Parts: sequence; C-alpha cells; structure tokens
Amino acid sequence: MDRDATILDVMTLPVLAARLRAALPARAVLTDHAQCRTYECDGLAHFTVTPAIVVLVETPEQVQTTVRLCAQSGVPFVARGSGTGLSGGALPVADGVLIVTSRMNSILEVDIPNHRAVVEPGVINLWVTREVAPQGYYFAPDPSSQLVCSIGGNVAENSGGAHCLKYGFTTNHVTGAKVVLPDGELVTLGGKATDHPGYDVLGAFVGSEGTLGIATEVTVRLMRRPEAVQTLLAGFAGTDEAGAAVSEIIAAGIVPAAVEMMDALAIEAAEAAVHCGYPAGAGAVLIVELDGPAAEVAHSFADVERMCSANGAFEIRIAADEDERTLFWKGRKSAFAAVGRISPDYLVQDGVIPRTALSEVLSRIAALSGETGVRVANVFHAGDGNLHPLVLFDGSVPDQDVRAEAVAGAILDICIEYGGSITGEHGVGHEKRKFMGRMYAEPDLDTMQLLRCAFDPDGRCNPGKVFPTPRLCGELPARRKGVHPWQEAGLAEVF
Amino acid sequence: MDALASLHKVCGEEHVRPGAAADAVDGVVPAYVAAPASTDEIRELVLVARDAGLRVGVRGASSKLGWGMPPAGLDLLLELSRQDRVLEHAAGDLVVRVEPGVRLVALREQLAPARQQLALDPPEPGATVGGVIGANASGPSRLLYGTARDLLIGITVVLADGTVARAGGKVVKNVAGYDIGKLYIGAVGTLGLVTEAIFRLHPVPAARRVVTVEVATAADAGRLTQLVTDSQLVPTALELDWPDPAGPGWLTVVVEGIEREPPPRRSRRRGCWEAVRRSPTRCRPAGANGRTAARPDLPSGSRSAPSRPRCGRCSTPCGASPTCTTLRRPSGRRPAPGSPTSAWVRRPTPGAPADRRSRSPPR
Repeated sequence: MDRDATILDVMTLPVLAARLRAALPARAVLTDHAQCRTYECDGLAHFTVTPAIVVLVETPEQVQTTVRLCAQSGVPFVARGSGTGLSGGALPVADGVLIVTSRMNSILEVDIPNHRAVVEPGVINLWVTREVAPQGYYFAPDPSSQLVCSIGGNVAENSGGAHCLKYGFTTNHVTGAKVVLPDGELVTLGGKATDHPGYDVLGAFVGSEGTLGIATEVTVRLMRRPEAVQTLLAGFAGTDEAGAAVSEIIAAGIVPAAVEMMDALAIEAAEAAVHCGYPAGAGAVLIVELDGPAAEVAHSFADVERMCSANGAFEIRIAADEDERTLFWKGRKSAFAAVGRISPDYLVQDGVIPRTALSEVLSRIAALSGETGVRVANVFHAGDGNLHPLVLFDGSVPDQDVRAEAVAGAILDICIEYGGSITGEHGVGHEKRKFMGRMYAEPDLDTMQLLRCAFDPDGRCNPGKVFPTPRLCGELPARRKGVHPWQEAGLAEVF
Repeated sequence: MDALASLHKVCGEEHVRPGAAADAVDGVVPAYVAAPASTDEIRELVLVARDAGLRVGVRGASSKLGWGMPPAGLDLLLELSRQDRVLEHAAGDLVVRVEPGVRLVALREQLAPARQQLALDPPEPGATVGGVIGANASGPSRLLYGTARDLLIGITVVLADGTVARAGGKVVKNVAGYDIGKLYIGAVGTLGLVTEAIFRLHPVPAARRVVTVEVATAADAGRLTQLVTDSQLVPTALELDWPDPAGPGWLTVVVEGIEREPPPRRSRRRGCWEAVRRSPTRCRPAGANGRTAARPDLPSGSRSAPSRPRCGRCSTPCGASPTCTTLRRPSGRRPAPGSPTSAWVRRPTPGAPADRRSRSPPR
C-alpha cells in the first residue's frame, strides 16, 4: 500500500515543517504553495503534484536529518535532482516532502591516476566531463539532458545515452556511493575499486529510481578520451535497408560508439525544424560514429562505409570536422522537438527490442499505424534496439489522445512480445508502472518487492513508482505539447 | 515419505544419492547429492528441502570450493552437471542464454564460430557460468570488459521458498524494474539458486598482441602501469606477476584490435615505449617460468600460435630462434647516455604466443 494513499493526521505536516525548520537552515525549507509548485513535475510535465514541503538540502547530514524526521512522522519523501527525468520518477507526493539535491553540487575529488571522481548528487552530468577534460578524460554516460541533468538522477534512473552501445550505462560507470537509507542511516556502498566482496548492493541501488534511498555522494569512473572520432551519415531508401546495414556492421565485430536511425517521418520533421539537409528522398537515415585508437577507427570506418553502400545507401557523408559532425547530430538530436512541427501533440515512447527484430517490429508498428490511422515517427538507437517511436496526435480532436495512448501501449506490447523491454533509458517511474505486470510475472515483481521491503519496509521512499498499481481516476495519458521550454532555451536536447 | 524418497521423486533415483567424502564442501559432507536437470526440478528440490528442513548448497565444477567459509551445515548439495546446455545464442544480438552448469571453456568453443565471446576469463580451470556468477570470478580482461556485473543482462533464480523469479531480459538496454541480477553476483548462492543466465557478448578481436616487460621494483611497475593507463591505448588486460618477492616482476599488457599494424599507433605508443626503454627492463624470454603456452581459451581460428622455443638470451636480439626475431629495438632513437644497454622490449609479432595469466588470489 502506498503511503500517499494513507491519510495523515492533519497536524503531521505542519509539525514536521516546524521540526525541519528547527533542524535545518531557514532557507532550506519551503512550505509556501506557490514556491512548492515550482517542483510539481519533472521532465514528464503532464503529471503534476505539488509537494507539501520542499527541502533544499546542502549536506549529507541535512539529508539524514530530513529523512529521519520524515521517518519519525511517517511522512513519505521523494528525492529530486534537476528534474529532467522522462518517466515521472521524481513526481512529488502531495502529503509528502520533496528533497531537492541540486544545492549539493560540489565535485569533491578528482583522482586522475585512478580514473575516478567523487561528486555530490546535485553535480550536473556534463560538469564532470568539463572538470576533467583538460587532462583528457570524460564521464561516459551521456543522456541527452546532460547539460542539466544531475548525477544523482543518473544514478537513480541508470541513465544511458547515444553512446551506451559501446560504453554502457551509469551502472557501469559508478563504483561507489554514500546513501541515506529510508530510516536515515548513512551507508557506504562500494568505493573506488571496481568491485567489492559481498553483495553488490550498489548494483541494485543504481537504477532503483529513488525507491531505496538517497545518494549523497557518488564515485564515478572517468574514461580516457578516445584518440579519434569519426562519424558518417548515410541515406537509405527505407528502414529495412538501413537495418540490414546495422546488422552487417555488428556481425562484422565492429562496436560503434553510436548507431542512430531515423525514418522518413522523423526526417521530414527534422528538416522542417532545423533544416539539417539530410539526403533528399531518404526513407531512413543512419548515423554511425566510431571512436578509439585512430588507426583502428580509420580501418573500421572504411568497412562501415562499404557495408552501408552494399546495403543500398545512396548517399554517404563523412564528417570532415567537428562542425560537420555537430551538423549530422543536429537533425537527430532535434528530432523529438521537431515532431512538434508536423503534429500538435505527441507521445514519446521508449521501448527495447532485440536488434535483429528491428525490421519485423518496424513493419508491425507501420501496420498498427495503418490500422489505427495514428501516425508514428521512428527515431532510435539502432545499435542496441532502443526504439523511440513518436506517436502523433491532435489533442483538440476528441478521442485522439486515447487512441494515441493505445498505440503507444500496443508498441510496448510488441516490444515485450519480441523479448524486449518496456524501457531502455527513461525508467518506469510513475508513467510505466502499469506495463511492469506485462513484462514481468508476479513472482518476478514479488522478488523486486522483497528488495524494496528490505530497504524501505514502510514504503516511504518515493512511493507510487516502479511497481504497478491500478490506474488512478483522472490520470491523463503522457503527452507533450510542442517543444519543452528547456529545449527552446537551448538547455536540453532530447534523444 | 522421507526426504530421500521425496528427492528421488523429483529427479529420479539415478540422479540422487547419499553424499560421500568426495562431495565435501570445505570438509562438510552433504547428506544428499542431487543432480537436477531443469529450473522446475531445482524448484521442486528446494520445496522438498524447505519442507524437510534441509540446508541446501550448490556446486558447479568445484573449481572454487575453498574460496568461501565452510558451510555451517549442508544437507542437500545440488550438482549442476546436468544443467549444462547453451539454451540460445542470438549471434545477431550478441546475446547468449545458458544454464548455470555450462563450463566457460565449452561456451567459448560454442561461440567461437560466430567470432563472439563471453568476455570473462577467470583462471580456474573448468569454471562454470554459475560458479563465476556466484563467486564474481573474473580474469585479466576485466580491465576492458568489466566483470560479471557488466555482462549479465538477465537471470532466473529459485529462491529458498521455491519462488522462481526472473529479472532483466534478453536486451542489453533495459531499465525496467530493479537490477536484481547484480545481487546474485558474488552472493555465493546465499540469496537463491541461479538456474539460467543471459549475457551480452563481445566480438572476438581480429588480433591480439602481448607485451611483457620485467620490472625491478614496485615503483617501476606502478609507473609503467600508470603510463599505459594514461595513454590512449585501450589495453584489454594489464597484469603484474611477481612470483618471487626476491626476484623481478613481470608486467604484461594485452592489446587487441584490428589485424593490421598501422604506423600511427606505433608513433603514439612511443611515449610509453620510451619510458619502458629507459627503465631497467629487458625482454622476457618466451617460456620463462615455464608458463607460456598456447592459449586454451582462444578459439582455434584465432591468430595465436603455440609457444616458440626460447633462445635463452634475451638481452640482445640474436635472431637465433623465432623468439629472438621478435625482438626489436625501438627505432629512431639512440639510448640516452648512461641508460642500460639491455633496454630491449619484445614486440610480439603475429603468431607470437599470448602470454600466461597470473592467478588472482581468491577475494
């Protein structure tokens, strides 16, 4: 039973607020409704809940104090970093506390010889790379929100990015964390070493979407900058041909840093929005990026080029410099927002399929789209089978949103049918709880619940996330209207 | 019905027997040994054990039996020798689904024709997949590919109450639900029995070269290691072997990649080469310590060849044996005055034996 469904005593929250104020600096505690509304949603902006109390913590001790007081009062709490999550993972609880870690934003230690950095959870993903770039290092996980998203959020969601095909996700790049458990105890998981004896609790903590505790310090792995990066853009007649090229590249034993694909509708949108100048008449565009030692990149790149041609690429462009490379990526990175140009509303889906099923699944999606009359644009990380179908609809037409949501759900069902996943990088959060029961059987979910209960027996830590619950009344389908304000401001790009 | 009869009922009389001295786990002899063939049978056995109050242990190839503490008690030992099937190899997806009793060597052979590998190379002979997960065993290539936690993408386990739970799946990119699989890695079977595992695979690189240098002091070893890790080389492994504290150590770097040896790479390596050259090191004769041998773990189609005869002299390139023809003086620079003249580095050539690996102590 979620705590948010429990009715708290009417005095519980005011008393908790007073106790928080007594224990923390005055500026750290917000209770004014207007101020608290600032935090009513994360990147999935159509779900909004205003928290009763917001605590802007600055130290691990303050996190501990806040969590302890919440535990004593039986009040649920939710942690939030930059609020860029796309599944409502940081959606607050109305009768609860929102613990915002963005003021905990110090890079505590950079240990270049051991390739590690120790950071606070509010540190922005890209800051880590900026800090160590002069020495020739970087932090590999690169979610498209990396300009604004926090490391704490990356840990909670096990964030990926376009380059996780080769380099893995956050879980592969976090070796240690200090965590405040739901009872207020501060524990250390892992450290600077690659692995530790005993249970890999850190491995279970990363990606737990804030339901097992709050990280107050994170030790991350730093990677050496590759010597060379080469990018090509290839235009194909259709997604089948482009998919065949991807299969051949992977079968040849080449592991590109990134392989991205867009279909005709997504290209049309990108052209309309950013005039990226992709090959005219292309039914699919493939972006392939290789990195590593220069000689190896040069060698494999020639192979990739040949494989694209052999599979029907009618135009291949190779980025001569960084500017051209940025241009290739511009169309891809703007694709989500660009869809706003060709449709008033759209849903962003995030599903995964085995790469080899790509062509079949795309046919199924096309058939689904034909049957229902709902248009679907496809943008995806083709290398690892992570699809981002964009389901287009017009919210002003009655029923269209419901139909679009049905199509988006049906796409996830197809992913499950092919042995894939309902989410590759956005997380389950609030949005996809109801699909968990379709992907996993009861015993699987019960086992996850066992872990949850070991950490958080009272269900106070980010309640109502990850685990399926019956849909609440008045819940609207996930949808985004046009461009996110952050994208407009140039603060974020959406993959 | 007594426990033995119940166990017989689950997997047949021929696969259940009373424990013998040879079945002892760290000196503890189990009352019964059962060899289940499927997840269902394991589940049934666990249910029998639960009802009869039997304490359950699990055994793969017994390659790491001495690693943990002796069990406080052991009534039923599950032997996974019958659970040794590779259930699915989706080559195009670089994914393999296996039973826990599969030996890594057998899996390697099965994946070799597709030029793919499960990038785990623990040195224990005969190790099984289940044992590698349970003990979180890894080998030299963990430097590049990581450990089991970085490669396991899906798991099926039987909990002590008979619950069969799955987590993860057949796709690498998957953040749906808790990453339960991680908890079973290194848990030595204390959280449940792994009955199926899904791993991501990596392509087998076309070429592998091994550079081994002798190091005189720990400080030298540290400095050279740092040089390599700070370079833009992407070594697969970097191993330090110090068999005799009184003698020298051996630092081995394994680099894998494309077959062609391109000029830019060599020039880039020069920074390291120079440092290595300036250090009081010399070539290590192939076959030193008697440990260099053909790599049993390499698929037959790979480019490594059996070990070559040693020449016995490695301070100067005599050319008397194939080993010595592989010696090259880093070209283009003369040794600085006063630097040791024995500063020769072995540059392995195609066909040179890949080197031995050091056994890591049990963690």
